[in-house]
Amino acid sequence: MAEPAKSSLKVFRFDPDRDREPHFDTFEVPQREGLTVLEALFDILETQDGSLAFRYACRGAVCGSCAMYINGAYRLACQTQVAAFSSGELTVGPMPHFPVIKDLAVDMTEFFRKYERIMPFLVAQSAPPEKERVQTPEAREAIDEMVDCILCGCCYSSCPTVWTDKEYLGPAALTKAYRFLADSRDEAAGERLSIVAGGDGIWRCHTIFNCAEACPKRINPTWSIQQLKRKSALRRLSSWLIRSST
Amino acid sequence: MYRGSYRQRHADLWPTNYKLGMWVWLLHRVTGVIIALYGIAHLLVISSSLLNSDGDLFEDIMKVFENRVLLGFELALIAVILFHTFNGLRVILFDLGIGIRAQKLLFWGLMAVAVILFAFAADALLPYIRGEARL
Repeated sequence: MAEPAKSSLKVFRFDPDRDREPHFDTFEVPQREGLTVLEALFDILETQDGSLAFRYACRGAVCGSCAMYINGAYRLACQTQVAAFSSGELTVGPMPHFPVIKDLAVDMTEFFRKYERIMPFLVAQSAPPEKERVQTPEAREAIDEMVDCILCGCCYSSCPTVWTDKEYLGPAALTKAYRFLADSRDEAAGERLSIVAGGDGIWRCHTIFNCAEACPKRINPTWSIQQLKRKSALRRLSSWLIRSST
Repeated sequence: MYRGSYRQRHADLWPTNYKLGMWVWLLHRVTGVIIALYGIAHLLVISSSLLNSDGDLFEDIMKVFENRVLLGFELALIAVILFHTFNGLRVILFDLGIGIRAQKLLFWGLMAVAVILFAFAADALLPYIRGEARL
């Protein structure tokens, strides 16, 4: 019987306990129908090199753990078919610009610290109703796109402003900020706008659209950021008008 | 300890990995700097007309700009300004909430207008650059 076709994976390796500089190791993985990059990494881990580190959880593109930089693009390893690359050669690296913990696993502390800053929860000011705070299907539809964000960090990693401004909230946190601001049940619009309109917020976005290109869920964070800019500008404008008319 | 020990900074900085928006943003910056530098040079040249001198200093300087190579640069400057102007419009439209989901289409549409305008400029300037006509 003929040997099954093999794909070759050039994998980024860096072990901070041993390496001063990173390097790439190349592994051959037998090809089969439906093989994802994540499964190929498992193959390597189980049969070739047990020291390979990578992060994963759901294997179904809903947890956002396995975001990586694969063949020159941000992708979820679980969602990427090895067969999609006809050359059979893949270069798999960690998401750029994040500190590397080991191999493909990056430190996302900064990312989640910024996510916390935008108050990622609904805020109610009014007294609770008897049953529930109702949201109509239409009102929910308005935030469908932003709810879909799985916080994988692809957009954050791709953003030139993130590269150069350590405190910039980044596209993911700002998309979520809009998700809560635009939620019909939320009652903290003012506070949310104050957070995102600060020096490290929306106004640092230069509409480069790298985030929209990077997003494996096809979300357009730039759109959300532009909505926040508009709301913030209108709020400032109306407060000036009110102040100057009294 | 791993913290900050290594970041893969350059993986996505390889130009073949850039998407349209990234190229456009970079070009917008570069053309902006070119226009600013041109503005300074332009003011210096024009203000030479204020200098008191025995000869026709300003006229002599203007003669220099009849040089065909410099006229070529002038045409290039028009391209730079057209790009910056029309992409600038694109960025303003985004701030007005227009075209955010069609940024590439918007870019190519505006560039089509820029190219048409550039064709007029080239049509007017090329005879002088080629030396077929004289100022």
